Amino acid sequence: MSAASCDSIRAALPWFVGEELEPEHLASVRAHLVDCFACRAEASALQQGVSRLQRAAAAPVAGVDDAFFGELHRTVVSRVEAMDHAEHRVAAGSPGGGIRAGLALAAMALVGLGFWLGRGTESSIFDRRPLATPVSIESATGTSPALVVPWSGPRWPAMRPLGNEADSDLGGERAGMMARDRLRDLVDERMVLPPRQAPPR
Amino acid sequence: MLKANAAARPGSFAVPASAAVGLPPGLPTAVLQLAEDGAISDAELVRRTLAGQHDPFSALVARYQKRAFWIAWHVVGRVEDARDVAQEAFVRLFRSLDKYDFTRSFYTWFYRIVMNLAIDSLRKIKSARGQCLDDVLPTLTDEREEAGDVPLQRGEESGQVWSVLDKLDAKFRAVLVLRDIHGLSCREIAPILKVTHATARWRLHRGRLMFKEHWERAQGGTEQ
Ligand SMILES: [Zn+2]
Repeated sequence: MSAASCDSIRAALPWFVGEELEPEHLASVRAHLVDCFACRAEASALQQGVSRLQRAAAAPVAGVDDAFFGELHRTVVSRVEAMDHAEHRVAAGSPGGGIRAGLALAAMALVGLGFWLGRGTESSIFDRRPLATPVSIESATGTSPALVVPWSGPRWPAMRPLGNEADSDLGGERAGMMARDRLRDLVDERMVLPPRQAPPR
Repeated sequence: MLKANAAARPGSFAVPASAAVGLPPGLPTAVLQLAEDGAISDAELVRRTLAGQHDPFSALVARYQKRAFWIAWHVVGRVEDARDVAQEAFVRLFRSLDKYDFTRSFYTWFYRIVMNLAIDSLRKIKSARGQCLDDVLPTLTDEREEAGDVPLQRGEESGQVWSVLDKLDAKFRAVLVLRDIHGLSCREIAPILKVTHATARWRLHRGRLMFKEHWERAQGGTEQ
């Protein structure tokens, strides 16, 4: 048997052992292996390699059982369903729309809060009596409780400290006078004088 | 002989008998019926999923999760990584279902997703170990066992087999896993690995030779 012949046969052996050899080469390889011990040994070694691989793959693996696959299935399905739901929300404009809806809700809440802060003794904005007629500033200073303006804006004139820290150092009666002056200024500013125009830029 | 025409069927593969076949337990009845119904093809399940149903996809997962896991495990060699690969493969499958070409086989397409993820995972693992894929180092399996990542039940020969397989480049390992363990033909392997049939055959040829050489070297104690 020639060395060249053994080389060509050996080149075919990795496919021969996996039954991937073209049929036209099969007969010649078989015939060669019958006579050539060295090539037969090589073929045997290759075939044992494949068998080892298959045996190793068939060996049990700790922790990989039906319960493992049951859990894997649940995890995959829940992940995919969560993803699908999220994508449907996106498709419906929802995360973007959700943000917009959230902003609208927040705006409504702020308006409601303004009413809440501006309310009198009503327990709810719905308890507030509607104003039948426009109320003038003058009448708001009257004594009829029905004419109190339901101011829904910020209540800063009442909530703001009447003096500043420097004023408070004066203490006593002077502090009280300054506070009253300040209060009058504020009242004049907001209720008597026309609203201030923004300075031209 | 090794395996009689195992390549023709993607279901005939060498994995632990206890977990090789069958559907996972605890499936809802509707999903179980879909998964078991041989008259309902994979492509039909894809179609129904695209129509907005959830159960058909759940049935696809049931049909393919074991194969996905075992392919990943045979490539990456660690249960947790293989499980992550399988999970991610199904998520990617779901995201790309609308790109499925109904004229092609489903499992070829899906196995490609699994194999790409598995090879990526293997490369990350090896990179984290600071080793080149072609390094000839003897003790990868020992390291993994010490880290508790690989079950000792594989036995001595199994451990040596995975150790030798670890020494092969991922592209050769992938072909050996798909052909010799999972029984796919080179014609099926080629599109999974996005190579020509000739390349798949050449890699198989080289892979088997390299596996034999590394095995003999390991047994002879002549590690470089
Ligand atoms: Zn010969």
